[in-house]
This record gives sequence, C-alpha cells and structure tokens, in this order.
Amino acid sequence: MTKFVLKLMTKLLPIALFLGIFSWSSSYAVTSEFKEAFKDQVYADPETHKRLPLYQYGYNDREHSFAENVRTIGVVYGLTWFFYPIVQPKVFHGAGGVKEYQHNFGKLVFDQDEPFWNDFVHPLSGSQLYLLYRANGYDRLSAFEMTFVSSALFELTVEIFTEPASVQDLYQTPVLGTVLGYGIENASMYLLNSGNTIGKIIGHALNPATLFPFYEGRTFIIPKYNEEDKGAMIRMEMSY
Amino acid sequence: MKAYLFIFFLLIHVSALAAEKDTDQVRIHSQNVLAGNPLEDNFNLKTGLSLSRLFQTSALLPTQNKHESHSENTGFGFNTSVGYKWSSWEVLFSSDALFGKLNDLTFKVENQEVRGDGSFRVFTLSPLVRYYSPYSIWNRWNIYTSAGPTWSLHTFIIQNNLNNSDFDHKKRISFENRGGSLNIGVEEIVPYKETHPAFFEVGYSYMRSHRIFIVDASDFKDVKTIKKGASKDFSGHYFIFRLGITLF
Repeated sequence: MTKFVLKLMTKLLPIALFLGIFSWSSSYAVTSEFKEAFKDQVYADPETHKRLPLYQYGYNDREHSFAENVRTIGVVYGLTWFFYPIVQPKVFHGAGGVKEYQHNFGKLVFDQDEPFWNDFVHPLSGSQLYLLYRANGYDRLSAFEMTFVSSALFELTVEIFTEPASVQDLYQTPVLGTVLGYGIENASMYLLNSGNTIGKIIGHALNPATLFPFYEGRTFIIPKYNEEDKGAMIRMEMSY
Repeated sequence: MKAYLFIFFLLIHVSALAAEKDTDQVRIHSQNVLAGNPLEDNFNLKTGLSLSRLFQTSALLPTQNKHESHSENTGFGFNTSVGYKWSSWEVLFSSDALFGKLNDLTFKVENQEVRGDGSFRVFTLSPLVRYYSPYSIWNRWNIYTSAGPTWSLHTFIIQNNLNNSDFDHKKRISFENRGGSLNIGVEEIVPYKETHPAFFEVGYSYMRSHRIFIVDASDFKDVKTIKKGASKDFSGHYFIFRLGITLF
C-alpha cells in the first residue's frame, strides 16, 4: 500500500509542479484590465452576481426514420465488434475464438458472474448506451428500445466469443442501464446548466455523450444589452 | 411461518375492507384518459426497492435422521419491471435482485454435506400478467394483482464451514430454480405518467431447484463453473414487499 502511494506521488508530482508553475506564471497577468476584457466572456446576473451558463443543455426529442435507426444501431454494433477483442484479448489467445463462438451460438443461460459485473458494469455500459441515444435525439422510450436492441445484438452475437448469452445481461443491461441512465441524465443536466466550471466538468464526465458532435441538445445563449434602448435580451442559437 | 401467512391475509383483508367499489370502472381510469396522456395503452418502466423474508429448505443425505435443513433469512434489494398496459391489463417482465445473510444451512453437494453461514443473492425474472381492478382505496390508490411463472438464480456464499468440510469460501453453491409468484398491490392514480406514480406491493413466490452449480470465484473477473448437474434438493419461498415509482 505504501509503495503504491509513493509510486502514485512520484507520478503526480511533475503534474502538480507543472500546474503550480503554470498558475504562478499566469497569475500576474490577471489584472483589472484583463478582468474588464474577460467580462464579455463570462456572463453574470447583474443583480445576484451569479454566473449564467454560456450554453443551455437539454434534450430535443425528435422522430427518427427507420433507416436512421438501422444506421445508428449499425454504427454502435460495429464499434462493439471493434472494441470487444481489445477489452477481451483472450478472443485471440485460445480461450475464446471461432470454436467457442459456434459452441455458444443460440445458448441462453443464467450466468454465474459476480454482482460487480451484473449489477454494476453491465448497467453502467447500458446507461452510457441509453445516454448516447438520448444525445442523438431519441426520446426516453425510444432510447430504451435502442439500448435493448444494441445490447441484445452484442450479447447474442459478439460476447459469445467468450461466454454464452446470459439472461441477467439481456435484462439488466438495458433495464437497469436505463434506470441508471435516467438518473445520470438528470444529474448531468443539472450540473451542466449550473454555469459552474466544476459542475460542467463533472456533468460531461458523467454524461460523455454530451461532448460528441451528434449531441443535439446544446443551445448557445447570447445575452445582449442595448445601451440606447436600455433594453436587454437573450439570443439563443441551436446548431445541429 | 404461520405469523407471516397471518400478516399476509390480514393485509389483504384490511385492503378489501378499505376498498371502495367504484360502480363506474371508467371513473378510475378517466382521470388519466381525460388528461390527454393516459397511463393506459402505454409502455412503462418501473423501479424500486424490495424487502423480503425467505424460507429456504435444502434436502440432506438419505443416511441422516434429519431429512431437511431449513433457514429463514431477510433479503434486501431492488426491483425493476418493463411492461405494456392496456386499460385494465398489463403484460410485463419483472425482476428482483435480493441480497442477504445466510444462517446455518446445509447443502447436499454430490455425496457430501456442506453446512455453513455466509450470504446469499437471488436474481429472479418473471413474465407477469397484471390486472388493474375497478377498486380503489380512498379513490386514489388503484388495487391490482399480478401472477406468473418465475425463473431464478439463487447463489450461496459459505464463509464459515460449520461442519469443518473443506468447502473453500471462494466457491459458490448456486441453484437455478423454477417457480411462480403472486402479487397484490396498489398504484397511485395520477393524471400524467411523468408525475411518476408510486406503487406498493406484497408478493409471494415459490421456487424449486432444477440445476445445481458449484463455481469458483477466486478470480472475480472470470468465475468458473467447476461442477453442474440436475438437482431438486433445494426449494424456497418468500414474501416480498416492494415499493417504487414509474420512471417513464
């Protein structure tokens, strides 16, 4: 344990030093002039002095054509074929492989995996799939359905390289995944719309699908103040 | 056991007394229908917490004077269900994941007995048919009942061997069971599904093993099945209390 902490410290020390030097070197530049110039970049409520978010995050549910659904499922399915051998290298090393695939094809069993996998890892991956589809404009029900199809395809045709399809994974990945995804969705939207930098970082970390270009729920907010009319307005821009 | 049965029937009796028969069945559902976004004809996903009392029975080797080993345990966990609801009927898949402590139970594993304390976990999956009755309590809680077959996996982790057998605590005894369940509950009558109607439910489930597995969980990333075979030596039943909400 002590060795691990020392090893971690030696790795973190250069980063801490770099950040320290960087913040020290830039601190002198934060003058009142700089603050004045920066005023246009950070919007704050003039009365409460609370920071206003630059973007409004949310979800814009829309209809998807059948072709679009097939294309999206196809991309996700293709990615599982690409990533599964990377995270399960035994596919290439005898334990899994074509013979195992043939043996497991069409089988459905109760797996004996530990709760860490069945009640945490699989639902977590299901939640990220759900959030991926939500980011792509699917409403909650459609996102659940797409998650169900994606995880079933993975379970029945990809994971069987190493083990037979399991009842728990087929059910828990989309269902518990959606339950978890629903919670993450609400928590991340709250954090992203808080206007707080740390809130935004944690919000994006919880819900990484909001960082992808296909995310359809980000709205750019531009507050405008008209000196002549003494009027204020907020312009909102959406880009898809 | 008798006490639990008594409480179960008492609950049903009290519910029946408190229930008001609505002469117009539509009235119960009309609040939702008229609101323009009825709960009827709709898909739903529900989730919540579960509390159960399990009664587990395991057959012993025929040479013993005692034929069965019993254990009573409390289990906690969570429940989920996905279903499609018509006006009074709903078809759904329901699941419970329960975890609890095990007190002194003996298992017949091939030709030896393993007696021990530890913990257990249960995963159940039930395709159910649910009927929403025309009765409500205080005109707010709609009474429903559901029933269906149950498939479950019951896993025991023996941490202390009480008969000094050489059963490693990294090994698991697991039973694949079949059975059935019957539930009765109430669901909040609300105008919109988005207001997350709550539900409370009591249920009874019976299960009997049809397969046994001995698995090695030394490496939690890769649990290996050491032995498996047919087994009718384990049976159990449990009363369960569920509470939760409709998520969407």
